[in-house]
Amino acid sequence: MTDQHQPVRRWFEGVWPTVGLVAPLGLLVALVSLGTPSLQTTAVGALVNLVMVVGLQMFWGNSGVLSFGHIAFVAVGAYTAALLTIPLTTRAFVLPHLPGMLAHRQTSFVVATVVAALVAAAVAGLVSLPLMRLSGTAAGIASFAVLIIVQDVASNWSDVTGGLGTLTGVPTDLTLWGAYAWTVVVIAAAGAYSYSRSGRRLQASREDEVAALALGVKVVRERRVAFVVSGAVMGVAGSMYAHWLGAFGPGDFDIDLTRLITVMLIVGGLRSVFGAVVGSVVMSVVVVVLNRWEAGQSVGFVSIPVPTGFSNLLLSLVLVLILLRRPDGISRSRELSWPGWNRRRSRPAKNAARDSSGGRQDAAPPDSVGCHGETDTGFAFGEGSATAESTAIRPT
Amino acid sequence: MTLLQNIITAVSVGALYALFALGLAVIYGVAGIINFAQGNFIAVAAYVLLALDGLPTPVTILGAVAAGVATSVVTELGVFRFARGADPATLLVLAFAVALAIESVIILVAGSRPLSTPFGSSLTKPIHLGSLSVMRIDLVTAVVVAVLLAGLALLLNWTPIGAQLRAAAEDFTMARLVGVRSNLVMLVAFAVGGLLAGVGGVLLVARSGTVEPSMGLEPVLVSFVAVVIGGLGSLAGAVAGGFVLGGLTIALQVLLPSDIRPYRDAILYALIVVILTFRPQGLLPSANDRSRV
Repeated sequence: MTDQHQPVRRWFEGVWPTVGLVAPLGLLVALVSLGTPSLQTTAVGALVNLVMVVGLQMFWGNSGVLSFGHIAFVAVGAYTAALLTIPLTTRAFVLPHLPGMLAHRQTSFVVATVVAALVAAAVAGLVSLPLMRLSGTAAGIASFAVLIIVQDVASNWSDVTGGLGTLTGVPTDLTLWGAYAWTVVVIAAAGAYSYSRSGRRLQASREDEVAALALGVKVVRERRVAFVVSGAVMGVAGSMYAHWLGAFGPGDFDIDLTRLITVMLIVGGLRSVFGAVVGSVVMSVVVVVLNRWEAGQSVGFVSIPVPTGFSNLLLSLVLVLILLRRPDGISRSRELSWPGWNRRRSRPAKNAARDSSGGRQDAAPPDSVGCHGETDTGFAFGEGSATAESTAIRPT
Repeated sequence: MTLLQNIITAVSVGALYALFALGLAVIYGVAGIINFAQGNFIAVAAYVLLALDGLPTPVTILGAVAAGVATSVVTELGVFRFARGADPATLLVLAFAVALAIESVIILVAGSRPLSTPFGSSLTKPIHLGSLSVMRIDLVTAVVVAVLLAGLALLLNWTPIGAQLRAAAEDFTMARLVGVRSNLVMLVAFAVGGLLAGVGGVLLVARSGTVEPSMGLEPVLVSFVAVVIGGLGSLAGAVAGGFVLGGLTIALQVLLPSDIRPYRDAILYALIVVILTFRPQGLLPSANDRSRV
């Protein structure tokens, strides 16, 4: 392999995890689009959840700091988008006391989603100022306070949110393929973020906070960046949620949704986008199947009536088994790697040796090796290692 | 006089939060688990209390508390023991799974609708001390929690297992290195957590007279915030955090003008965020929370 091929290979390494995820997902969506309308609606809901899981992964997975507050940004996104897309005539009816600026502007779903992302990101930015000062776990638990604040405001600010009741009249124009398109955008963004310098610095702080600090990573700042970016994704999810159901209330964005999204993320594998996607797909399928079973519909060949609560008991047992067998999640928290490169990675010692010798030959013609062979070897090691990016830290 | 009355209410609410927060902090400190199932231990105790209705009151109460302890210990023996040293996120979701399992079992056995019970109805009447009128349950809560906290302080400070528990909560690895048996300490931590949840469950039922499968969730979530205010991993901090949270809640309830009172929770949690901004380590941070290199 000559070094002209290095950029191509690295480009592939960067893009493959996203393409390799999005393509099979598209196949799945195509399959579902042949099914009944009710199945399609269910699938759109699953994609909305998937976007939330990926959004949560961008923060939690990269920083290692848990968060119970991310659903708050989904709520912000949902209300923002709804206030932009509810048709004006309906709006005058559902929210008669809306302040003028919000009462007379109607946008398309796409514009509303972008605005929802921006507003959610702004709220996340504001919240991150005090929250990220806390140490890891404390910040995560304290972020629960944000969820309560947002829920409380949404329940009581009746003029704008419709109060405790359900806000209706949002056009349900989110199609299956539309949801898939947004999912692709979000997965690509998450992949790009975890591959970016900022993402790598944050991952370094996740692995060893003290070491990262010593190397000059501004841990708090990187965490804030991730918090804002993932807040934006949660805003997108909120807009999708609103346009999926058409009606929602403050009670939708509660600890139950938080738990569901968290479970999906951890079951799949916290530290990779691949894990987030796999976890949410697997859990969505399991939950849908169990719910249909409990509702008395036949699933495949089984149609045994079960009492209420049984499917959840089964679900919890499945969860415990998965987590005890695979504590790092189904994906073992790895990203997809190019099929051919898999085997090389799994035997690091041999590969490193081979890479370094190969690298030395390629990097420098024999006549210039002479005096600084050792440095070349070291350099080649760095090039060959996938984690070299994470330690490429410079003062900022 | 209303001031004194409000203070008594605040102490009683704070005591309840402190009880739950301490249960969470004991398990978090030793096992590193953010134990969402704590709320379900509370619910189990409450349902057992309901099931034993008709027996002499001390028996029902003892039975309920024992059920809380048993559920907690079984959880540790059946699930968490097999996940020693797992990632905190994995432990968290295991706790979710345990919570879901317990809730499902409750729904399977007793149904998902709220049930009401006459237990403790005599305690919801006020008693009059001079011009002061205080709910009996407030006094009972304060006294029970005081006794329980004193008992725990004795256990933690004057018994060998208490010392081991504190050592494990401070630094689990170090404690093991000096000979603390990890399985035993975990078991004791879960038993104490279950005991506090059980007593909390009995007090909650006496207060509200109703029981439902998810009744423990909200108090436990609030108590998590109390644990963080107090300082994550610090047992004294958890108690302090509980009282601060209870006091703030009642203070806001009383002091806020009625037109913004609906926003009480939003203001309360905004205040908490402000407190944490200035004291990120909590009010009484634990000794091992300081970062050492």
